[in-house]
Amino acid sequence: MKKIIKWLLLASLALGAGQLALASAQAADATPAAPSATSSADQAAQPTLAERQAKAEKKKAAAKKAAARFAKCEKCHDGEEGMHGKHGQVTNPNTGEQVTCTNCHGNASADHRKQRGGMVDVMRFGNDAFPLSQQNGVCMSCHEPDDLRKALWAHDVHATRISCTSCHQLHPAKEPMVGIPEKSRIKLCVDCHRKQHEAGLGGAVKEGS
Amino acid sequence: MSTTRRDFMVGMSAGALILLTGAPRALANSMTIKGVRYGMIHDETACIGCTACMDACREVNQVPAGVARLQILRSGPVGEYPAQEYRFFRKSCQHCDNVPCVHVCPTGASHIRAEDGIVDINPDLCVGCRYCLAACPYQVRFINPVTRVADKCDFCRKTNLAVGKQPACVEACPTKALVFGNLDDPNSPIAKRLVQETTYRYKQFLGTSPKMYRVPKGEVKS
Repeated sequence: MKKIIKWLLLASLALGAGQLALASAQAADATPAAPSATSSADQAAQPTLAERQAKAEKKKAAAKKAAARFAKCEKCHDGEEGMHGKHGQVTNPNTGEQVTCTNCHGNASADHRKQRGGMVDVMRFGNDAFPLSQQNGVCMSCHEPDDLRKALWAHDVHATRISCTSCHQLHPAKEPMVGIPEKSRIKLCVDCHRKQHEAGLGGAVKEGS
Repeated sequence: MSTTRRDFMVGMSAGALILLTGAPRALANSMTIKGVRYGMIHDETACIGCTACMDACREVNQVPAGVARLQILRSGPVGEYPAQEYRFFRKSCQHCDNVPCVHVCPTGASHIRAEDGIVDINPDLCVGCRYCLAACPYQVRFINPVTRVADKCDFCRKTNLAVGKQPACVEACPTKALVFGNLDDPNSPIAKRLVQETTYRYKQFLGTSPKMYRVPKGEVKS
C-alpha cells in the first residue's frame, strides 16, 4: 500500500514539473514577438496622443466649469430642487460640454430672485408665464423630432400643444417616463384626454388640463 | 344480419337527403334578426390611438397574450413636423349581416344570433378547423390558445353586456370615439348619429354588410 502511494506522489510530481517546463517554454516563445507588436501600435497612436491629452484636459476643464456652475446654483437650489437626473451628466451637443443649469434655464442675473420670483430671466418649465414654443424650444434644441418619434409616436402630435414637462421630469434621479410600463403610459393618455373631452375642448389641449 | 349493397346505398342517400335539406334552413334562421341589431361606430376623428380599448378588452374578456380580439392599427405620420397627423383603424369583428365565417363553418359553431345580430361562436361545436379564419375578409379571427377554438370580438356578450354594461372598449375610451347600440332602434344614440354623420364601412364592396361603421378622418378609403 505505501509503495503505491509513493509511486503516485512521484508521478504527480513529474507531471507538475513537465507542465511548468512547457509553460515557461511557451512564455519564452511569446515574449520576442510582443514588443514588436506594441511598438507598431505606439507609432500609429502617437500623432493622436497629444490631441487626446488636449481633449481630456479640455473635458476636465469643462467638467470643472460645469461643476462650478452647478455649485453656484446649488447654493440656493439644493436638495430636491437640484439636478439628480441624467441631464446632470450628459453632454450638450450644441456646446460639446456638460449640460449646465443655465443651458436650459437661461443666464440668470445675480438678483433674479428679487424680480418677482425670477420670472423675468429664469426659464420656468410648465409655467404659463412662458410661451409653450419657448419652453419646448429649449428641449428641442438638443432632442430631434426623429429621435422623439422613435421613442414614442405621440411626441409628434403633442410637441406644439403641451409642455414637455407635462409628462417629463428632468430633475429627479428617476425620469418618470423612462421605462414606464405600457399600462401606466396608457393611463396618462386616458386621464388627460378624458378630462379634455369632458371639458369639451375638442382638438386644442390646454396646458395643465 | 347481412346488408346488401343496395340497402346500404339506399340508406346512405336517405341520410344525405336529410342533411342537405336541413342545412339551408339553419342558414336562413341565422340570417333572421328579431328586434335588436347591435352595431358600433368608431369615430376615427375622435380616436387618439391610446389603445386603452385594447387593454380593457383583454382584461374583461380574459384574452390570452399573443392574440387579440381588438387592435388599433396606427398609420402615419402624414405631413411635415410639427403638423403631423396619424390615422387609427379599429381591427375587430365587423359583425357582418352577410357573414362569410358563418357560411363556411362546417359544424354550425359560427353563427349569427337571431336575437341581437351578434356574430358568435359556440365553443362546444367548434372543431378548430380554421376555415372561418381564412374566410373572414377582415382577418379578425384567431384560435384561442387556451380554449383551442376560434375566437373573436362578441361585443362583450358574455361579459359586460351580460351585466347590462356597454362593451369594455366603449367604456374605456376617453374621447368617446366608440358608440355602441341598437341599429334597429331609431331613437338609439348610434342610429341618431348614423343619420347625421358621414360614415363608411370597411370592404363594403364585398357585400358583407358589416355593422361596424366608421367616421372617416380625411379621405375615405374602403
